[in-house]
Amino acid sequence: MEHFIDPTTLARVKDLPLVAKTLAQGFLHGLHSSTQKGTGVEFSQYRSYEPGDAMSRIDWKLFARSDKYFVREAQRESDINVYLVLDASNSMNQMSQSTATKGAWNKLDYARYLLATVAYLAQQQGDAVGLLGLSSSQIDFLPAMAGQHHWQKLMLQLARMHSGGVFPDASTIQSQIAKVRSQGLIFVVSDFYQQQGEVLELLGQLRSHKTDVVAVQLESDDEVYFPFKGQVRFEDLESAEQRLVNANAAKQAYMHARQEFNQKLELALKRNKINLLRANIDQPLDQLLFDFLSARAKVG
Amino acid sequence: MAAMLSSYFASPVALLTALALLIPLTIHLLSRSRGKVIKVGNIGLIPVARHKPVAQVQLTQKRLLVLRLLLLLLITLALAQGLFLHPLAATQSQKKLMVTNSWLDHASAQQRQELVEQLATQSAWLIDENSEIDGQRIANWAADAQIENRPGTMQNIWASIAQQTESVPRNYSVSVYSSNALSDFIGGKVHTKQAIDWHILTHWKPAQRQVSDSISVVVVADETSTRQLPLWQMAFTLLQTELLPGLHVEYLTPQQVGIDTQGEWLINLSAQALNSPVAILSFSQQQLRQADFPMVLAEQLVSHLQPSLSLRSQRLSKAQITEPAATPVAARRDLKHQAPSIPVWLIVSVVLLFCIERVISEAVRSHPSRADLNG
Repeated sequence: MEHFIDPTTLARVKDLPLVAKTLAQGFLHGLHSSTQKGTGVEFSQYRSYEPGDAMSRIDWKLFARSDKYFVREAQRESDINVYLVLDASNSMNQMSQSTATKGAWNKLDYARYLLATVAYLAQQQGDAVGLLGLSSSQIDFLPAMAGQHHWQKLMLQLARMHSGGVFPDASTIQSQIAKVRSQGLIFVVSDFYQQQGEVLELLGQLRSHKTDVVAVQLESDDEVYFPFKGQVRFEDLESAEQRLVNANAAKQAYMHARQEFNQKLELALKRNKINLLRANIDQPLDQLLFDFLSARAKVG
Repeated sequence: MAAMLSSYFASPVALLTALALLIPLTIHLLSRSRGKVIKVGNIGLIPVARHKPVAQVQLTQKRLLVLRLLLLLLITLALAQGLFLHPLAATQSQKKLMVTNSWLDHASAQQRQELVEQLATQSAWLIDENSEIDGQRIANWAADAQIENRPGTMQNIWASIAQQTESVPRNYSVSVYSSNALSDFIGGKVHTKQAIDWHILTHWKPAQRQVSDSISVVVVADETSTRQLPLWQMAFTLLQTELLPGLHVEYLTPQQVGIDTQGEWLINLSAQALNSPVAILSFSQQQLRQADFPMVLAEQLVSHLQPSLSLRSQRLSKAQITEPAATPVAARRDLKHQAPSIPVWLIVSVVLLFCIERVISEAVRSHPSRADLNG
């Protein structure tokens, strides 16, 4: 897995499921040789039938005895629900100027591919995967379920997502938060640009003793290196506010401000015991996954 | 438009080219001063100067923009070699006036007086005589007398003008006063370096049919000519009176005719054959008795003058006269008569402005002030 796929190459492939499978296959053959495929085999408990459960999982013998529908839960299935939370605010439309002409992707595209790959990996392991897309203009929610069919629905939902507005206030999405906040793993992908701390507040509400939250902060080469020169008019993607600056003169102050921002974010997430991953959208996507999964493998 | 530009710039093509380059450069400088738009996720990370409004362009950048535009303008003027850049050179009030006999012949007294007033203290150039003519002579010009005494001539005024203006400085204005008689424009158009201000007299009456040109006829008669001689004499008298006042008839005997006999026509009414270099004119007896014999005789006598006679009444249009001839390649490459070189003060200004612009530009780049954070 030393050879990572160039993001501009990946961006040209518009087929989300294909990209997800391509990226994930490498991991499935490498790091996850011990992964048990399919549903879990060790019986754990019965639970009442819920709409969406596969009919094959209904215990018919128990139905014959009790005249009620119960499904068998395997040990693994009862362990993890994987929820993918995607920041779909307008700031996620940012992309690097250096790669813009090559048809590379913006942060939202990167997040889509990343979450699709994670969803595929989870689905291959038999985990239930759900999706929550957040913006002030639209909220997309898919409950966590396992199975190929559900995975395909999730891919479709991811592909259809559009950015708009700003990140919503946590108070407006309490019902979704309640559903997401269950035993499992929550992947939150965002640039963490917020107006009044709404992203951090959401993460704080998601985190619990049963829930493992992984925050992925997306950034681009432009944000990391600030390669601009001369007179530049910066425009905010969400508020449309403009600032005309001499980029050469503003670089130092910007780098300092960005460093401060990152440090505050790390501190806030650490306080909530949330793992932070920083991903550069102009670097290979599979590299991020490799680093993350390697780290998880070591911890596990 | 080309003629107008030529009046002010030695190199109108360079001017138009420079202007064509100036437009996109100006657009580039203006848009550069506004800055390229970059969309970012968080404007809060971009520093802002506390004491300036964020949308305002710095005064330094405005000054640089003005300097650069001024520099471009001066370079454009230098390339186009504007004639008005030479304040010590002759002004437009310096002019060369040229006039033709035909204009003087047919101009009214008032028109001649206006020309004299334009001349002021200088003289005009009389094209037909290839000499100067002063205001007094113009004012006192007696057309009838002039026409009568002047032999019929054909000339190419374009060539004369081109020759006369060869050495005239480019900043002189050249005015030509002429009628539109075809006889003054015989031959091809000749390119002139200067733009010509034509004053064409179009309302004039052609000269009367009386031909003032002298025609010399020798009539040789002897005793056998007694019957037809009176007819000839009568015809000659009629022609001299009505049509050909310049007709001169000499009567000789056959013995008086020799190889040194001079005249344009010889009419032999004697019975002897003559050996003379003069062209012989003869008519039959029947023709002599025709009522139109004098007119037929007149046609024969003036047949060598026909082109001149017909040309005197033919006219050209104004456009035919004033439309400039095609510029020959040699004239384009003629460096002798180009406008004076680029003035020194213009070159110094361009260099100075360039240095100032560079110094300010580098100063802004190397030592940006807090105010410069906002551009």
